[in-house]
Amino acid sequence: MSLTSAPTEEAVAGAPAPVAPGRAARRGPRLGVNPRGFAFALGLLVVIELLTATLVTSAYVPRPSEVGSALLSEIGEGDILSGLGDTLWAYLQGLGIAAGLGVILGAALGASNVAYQTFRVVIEFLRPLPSVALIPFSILLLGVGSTTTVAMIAYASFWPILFNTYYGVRGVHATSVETARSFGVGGLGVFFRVQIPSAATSVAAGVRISASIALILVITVEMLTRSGGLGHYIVRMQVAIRTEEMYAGIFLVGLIGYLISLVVGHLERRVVFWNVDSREDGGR
Amino acid sequence: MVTKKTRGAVALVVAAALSSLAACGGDGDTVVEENADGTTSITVATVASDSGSQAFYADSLGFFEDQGLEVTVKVVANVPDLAAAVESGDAQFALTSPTSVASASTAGINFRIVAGGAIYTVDNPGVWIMVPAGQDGITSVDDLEGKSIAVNALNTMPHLSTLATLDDAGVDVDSINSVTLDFTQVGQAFESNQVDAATVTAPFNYQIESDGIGTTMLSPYDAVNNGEDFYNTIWFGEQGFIDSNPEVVDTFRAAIAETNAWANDPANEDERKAILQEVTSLTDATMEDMQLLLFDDEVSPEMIQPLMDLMERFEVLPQPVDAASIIAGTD
Repeated sequence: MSLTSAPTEEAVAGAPAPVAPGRAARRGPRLGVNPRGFAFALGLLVVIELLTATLVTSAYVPRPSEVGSALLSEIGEGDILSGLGDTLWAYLQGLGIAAGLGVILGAALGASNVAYQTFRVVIEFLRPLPSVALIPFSILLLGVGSTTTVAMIAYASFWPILFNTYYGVRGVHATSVETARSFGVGGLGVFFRVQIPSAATSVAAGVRISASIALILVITVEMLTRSGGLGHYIVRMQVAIRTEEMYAGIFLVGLIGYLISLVVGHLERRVVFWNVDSREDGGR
Repeated sequence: MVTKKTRGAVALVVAAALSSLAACGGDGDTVVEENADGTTSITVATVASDSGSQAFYADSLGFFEDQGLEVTVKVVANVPDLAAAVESGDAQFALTSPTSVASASTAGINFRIVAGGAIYTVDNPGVWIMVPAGQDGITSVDDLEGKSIAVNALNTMPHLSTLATLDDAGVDVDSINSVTLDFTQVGQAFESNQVDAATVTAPFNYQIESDGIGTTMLSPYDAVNNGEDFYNTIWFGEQGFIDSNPEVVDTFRAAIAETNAWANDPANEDERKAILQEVTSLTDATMEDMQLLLFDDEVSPEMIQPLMDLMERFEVLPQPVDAASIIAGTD
C-alpha cells in the first residue's frame, strides 16, 4: 500500500505549478515592495503629525513634517551624507571582519570537539560582554577613531555568526557524513563538500542577525565616542539643540536599517536559495 | 594530538596578545622626533564645546604652526575617553577638568597639568543652577532642601559646587536627591517636572530660558573659591612624555597662550563664534546669545587648589591632593 496518493486533476489545476527547489528563488528574488506596510507607516506619520500639532506640544518633540524638512535641508548641505558614508564604511568593515572570522572559527569549532572544549570557557566568558563596556579598553588599545568603531562592531557581530556556523556544522546529519566517507571522500573533503554547504543556511541566519546588530553598534559607538559618522551627527545635533536635525538623523538610521534588511534578505535568497521556500513570507 | 606546528601557532598568538597588552600605556616616555621640515607632529584630544575650543582656534588660525607644531585635533566624547587617549599615547595632550587629574593622581596615574584652559570668573561662571518655570515654591537656595537636583555626573565640579552652595546656605546636603542627567536632557526634565532644579552649562541655559521652560537661580561655582577665579578646564599630559619632551611642552604652552590672547580679545568675538559654530553646529540664534568663556595661561596652584579642597570637603578623594604636585614643573 502506498503512503502517498496521486493528486486529483482539480487540485493540480487550482494549484500553482510545482517548482523545483531553488526555482522560486531564481525566478523571483526581488527587493519586495510592501504597499500595505508603506500605507501603515504613512498613516502612522499622519497620526504623529496630528498629535505633535495638537496634544504633544513639547519644545523637544518636533513634528514629522519639520523633521522631513530638516532631513531634506541637511541632505542638500551634505553634512548628514558625509556622516552616512563614514557610518556605512565602518559598518561594512566591521560586519565583514565578523563574518570572515565567525565563519572560519565557527566551522573549525563545529568540526573539532577538542577545539570547542578548549575555547568554550573563554567564548562563554567573552560572549555576554557588551561591546560598549569595552570602549574605554578599546580606545586604550586602538586609539580614538574609526578603528575602535570597527572593532566594536566586529566584536558584537561576531558571536551570532560564530555560533550559527558552529551549530550548522555540528547539525549536519551523520548519515550525510558517513555516506560521503563511504564514497571515499576524505576528512577535508567532507568538511568542505558536506559540512560547510549544509551549514550555509545557519551561517546566513547568523549574518542576518549580525547585520542588524552591526547597525545598532555602529550608531551607538559613534554616539559614545564622537568618532564621526551618523551617530556622531545625531549627538552633535542634540548638543547643538537642533532637535529636528537630530530626529532626521535618527530617521535616516531607521531607513538604513530597513534597506539593510531588504538587501540581506535578497542576498540570502540568492545565495542559499534552497532554503528560501521555508521562509518566503518572513524573509521580506 | 597537538602537533609542534599547533603549539608554535598558539605560542605566536599568545606572544602577540601579550605584546599588544604591553603596548597599552607603555609609550608615555616616547621622545617625539622632529619632522624633516623642522615641525613636530603631535595629537591633542578635546571636546567639541566652548570650554574645549582652544585647540580649534589654534588649528584654524595657525597658532600651532607658529610654534612649529603639526597638530591633529581629535574630538572625543568625555573625560574617561580623554584620559584613555593620553594614557595610551594616542594623544600627547588632552583637555579635562583639574578634578580628573587629581583623581587620576590618587589612583597612581601620572598625569600633569601643562597649560590653562577655561576659567571661572564671577561675571562669566559657565555653570548655573536653574529651576523649572512655575516652581513658585523655589526662590532661593534654602528652598532646595529635600529636592531632586539634576547634575551631569556625580562628583564632578557642577555636582560638588552645588553641594557646597547648599551646604554654605545651611541646607542639609544629605536631604538632596542628586539625579544624574545629561545637560542635553535638562529641558525635557523641566518640561515634565521630573526634577526640582538642575545644573546647566551654556548653551542649554539660554535655550531653557528662551523657551520659557526654566529660570536661572545662581552659579554654583561662586562657592568654589569665594567668587575668585579658578580653572574650570586645563590641558594635561603624561608625566613620562612631559619629562622626555620639554621642548614640545614649551611650544604647546606658547601656542595655547597665543590662542588665549586672541580668544579673550572682544574684537575677535565674531570670528571666534564662527569657528566654534563650525565645530559645534550650534544655530545662529544660540551663538548670538552665548557668552563665551575666558581662558588663562598661568597655571598656578592657587587657581587649582580650591577644586582639590572641594573634593576633599565632600570626601571624593581618598587622600588630600596638593595642587602643586599635579602641575608640570612645580612638583
